[in-house]
Amino acid sequence: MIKYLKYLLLFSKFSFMRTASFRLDFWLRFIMDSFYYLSNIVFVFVVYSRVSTINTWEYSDYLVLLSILFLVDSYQMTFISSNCWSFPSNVNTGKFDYYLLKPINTFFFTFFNTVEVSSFLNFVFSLPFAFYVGYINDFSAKQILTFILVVVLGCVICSCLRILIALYNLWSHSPYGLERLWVNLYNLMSLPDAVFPSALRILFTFLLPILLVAAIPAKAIKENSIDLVKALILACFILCVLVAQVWRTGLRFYTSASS
Amino acid sequence: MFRFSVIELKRQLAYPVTFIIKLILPSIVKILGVFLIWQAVIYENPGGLKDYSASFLSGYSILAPAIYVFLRPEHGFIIREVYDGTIQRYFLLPVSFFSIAFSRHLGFLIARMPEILVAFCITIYLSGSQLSLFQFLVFLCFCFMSSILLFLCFCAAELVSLVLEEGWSISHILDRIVMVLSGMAFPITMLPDSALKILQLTPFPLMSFVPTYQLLNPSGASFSFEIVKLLMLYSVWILLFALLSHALYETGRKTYSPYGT
Repeated sequence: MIKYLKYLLLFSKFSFMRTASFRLDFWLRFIMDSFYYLSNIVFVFVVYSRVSTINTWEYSDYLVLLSILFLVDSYQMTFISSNCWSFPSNVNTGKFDYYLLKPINTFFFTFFNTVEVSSFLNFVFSLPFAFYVGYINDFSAKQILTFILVVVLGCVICSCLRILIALYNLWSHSPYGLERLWVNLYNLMSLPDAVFPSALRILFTFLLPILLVAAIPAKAIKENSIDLVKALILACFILCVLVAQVWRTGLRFYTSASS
Repeated sequence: MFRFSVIELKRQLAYPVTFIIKLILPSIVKILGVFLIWQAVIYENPGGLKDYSASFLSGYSILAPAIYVFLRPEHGFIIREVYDGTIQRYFLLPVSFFSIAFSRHLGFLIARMPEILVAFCITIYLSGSQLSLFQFLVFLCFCFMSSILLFLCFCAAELVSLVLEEGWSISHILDRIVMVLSGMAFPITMLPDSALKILQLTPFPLMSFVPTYQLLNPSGASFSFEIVKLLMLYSVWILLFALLSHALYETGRKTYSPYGT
């Protein structure tokens, strides 16, 4: 574990050196993500300026959902996103072959070799927003602990889903894969589960569980439900096992781009 | 131009699975996000909201995002060529870069026509609006103008990459701004008055809100000076973005050093 943390620190150092060479890119990425957060807040603000609740979700509940989503997004943009973006082209061009030869855990190297330092700045936005949301909701100590736990679970679930989507490229060999679909699925992640009709709710909870990233965690806090937290832990475990299984199967199936 | 449009149309349709995965599915998901939230609002307020009927909001939540996602150019349509250096072929061709880019955009639009038609039919069904021929023709005209405006707006954003060698983030930032301010996710008339007044001085409402409102608003059924005013506004913004894009292209062409050379 310590060995991998050291590697992660080393990757961060390299990423920082690379980022320092492209300063404009560094700031523009931060502005880009801030716009993403702001646009979500504006949308929710406008909708709630006309209605008091959306299927039992009040304005303050919705903000809890957004704060979880922003924290999860900050994490996944920093550690996972760039690696998953480059994965399809690495498979498509055959660069992935060299990853397989490196004397390091291939999974770790594939999905954690780039740490996006500019996206780390997103926490400058998402952390104060989470504090603000906790303040206006007057979170109790138990709720704060639940919030921290569900954010961590949300990060793991989001990473698993992101990696599963990327792993599809071991079969498709497409240079873009399902990346665009993933970007747009983010729009659905910012919605409470209550707005989904039952068929879609089942689809997005069990088959493509994007609702487990922010909507269900926010619901767990809203309803003070320990059962939902337990369900999230179970889902987290199942997804981790699934990712490991798909990765192993994918590697067996993988034929180099040049073969 | 026609030949480039046909080539682009063939390119898009050559790999149907890629077309579905890369374009249709993400578009449906994006529209679904807006549609679901407004359906939930309508479910709680069956009589509609103040100033907005339930049928208007239903139709709006499909058509406004559909107009934006279907009429905007493909993301990275210029940046990719700048990054891999293939844009330099336009410097040598005896045809204008913009005519080729726009022809390809037209081909792309034609490939997406069935999706636009489906979104249009669902909107008409949900909103229950009685369309006059005049209203439909003005709607088509506004859509065409929006398409040109979106093309030139994103063209300008992506051509920044020729000058600064940085374009993805700018294009994404613009995408986010347009998504909020064009009325794609909600009718912009829901914004506070002061914000609305400022917004009306920008081109963003023309990109999605204006065509949608023209189709769903009963007053759009007859000729009014407002339509002429909007057409003039479209022309002015198109001209401005065309000039900006041209200036960026000419500046970038002089300073650009292609990757790998």
